[in-house]
Amino acid sequence: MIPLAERIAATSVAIEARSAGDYLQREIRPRLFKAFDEERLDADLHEISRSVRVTRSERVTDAFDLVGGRRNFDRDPALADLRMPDGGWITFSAVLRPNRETLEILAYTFERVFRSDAQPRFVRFDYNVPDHDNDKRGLRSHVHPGNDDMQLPSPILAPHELIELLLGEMGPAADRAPRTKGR
Amino acid sequence: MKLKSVGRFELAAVIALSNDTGAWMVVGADDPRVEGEDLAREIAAVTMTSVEVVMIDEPTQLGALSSATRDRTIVFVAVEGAERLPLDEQRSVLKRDRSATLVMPIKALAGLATRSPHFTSWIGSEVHVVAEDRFLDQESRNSRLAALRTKYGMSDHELIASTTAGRAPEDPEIAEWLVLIERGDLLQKSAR
Repeated sequence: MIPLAERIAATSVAIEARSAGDYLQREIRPRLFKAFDEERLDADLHEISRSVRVTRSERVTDAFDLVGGRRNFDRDPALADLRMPDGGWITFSAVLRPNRETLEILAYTFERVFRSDAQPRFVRFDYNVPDHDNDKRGLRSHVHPGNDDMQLPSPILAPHELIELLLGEMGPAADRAPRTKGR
Repeated sequence: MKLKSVGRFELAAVIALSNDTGAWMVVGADDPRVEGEDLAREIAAVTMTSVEVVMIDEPTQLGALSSATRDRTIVFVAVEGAERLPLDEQRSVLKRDRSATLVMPIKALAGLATRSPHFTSWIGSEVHVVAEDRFLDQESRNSRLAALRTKYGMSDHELIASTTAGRAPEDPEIAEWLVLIERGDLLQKSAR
């Protein structure tokens, strides 16, 4: 059987965009605007404009960082830029490398923080740079289900897919009651 | 009249939100042709519709061009003769079903409120210049300001004094500096 790490690597996708700036303009910001317009995002237009951008990558030569909101390791609400109506927020960064007409996804971290009394408090999708310790363990792409020390394998998603996922409704379908199993 | 410095996305988003009201938005740019194209692309991405760029080669054609395109989202670009646009005289034919953005040289913004008081009041007495993303947050704004102070060898106070006295250089960067320190009201003086 093909090893899990290889199967996960096969889920990566080349993003069709002329440049990281083009991707920001056509796929990222319109999704944030739609979320703002539908009141899934509480941040105002100026905050979105200011906090979501593309810059030359700090870590990888010839690549670009797509950044959404300030780094917020302590999950401090005062540092949240892309706030959501439940009192939570999203924050993200991705490293993208342009190759002719596409962008290669090199690494990312996308976190959705929920309101302070929520369980779990957050969920985070990470995709590490190649040769990271996690890569050697077959966990280059993983999800933290509300626990910084717990890593579960995850497919590789495109940044615009992660934004849609994290700004979307993750609770039960509207016609189904919330449920809690076990204690 | 208030001059606001905003990011291109923010401006496009505001235009998208008021698209169905046929509102007008006025934007100043160093190079109106380039800004017109950039802004049209950004508005098209946000509204997920097509946006046309229409050049106003002859100022008196403004009303006719607007009427002919009133049901589409348009970015008008005026370069030559932007100071002669008959915005007040033709205001009755500027009513639209979809929004219009008028991009003109920053210098032409200066006397807008004096030349076309009714139009200016109709658009909420607010005009815009686009700030590049990298200058949008406080930290970047501060480093940009530091670079401008070094380049011109002046403090903000000295800039205000020399602009008020009509002695400031006629550079686009001076206009940018004034906007960054929220003294866009002095643009009129720097443009003399």
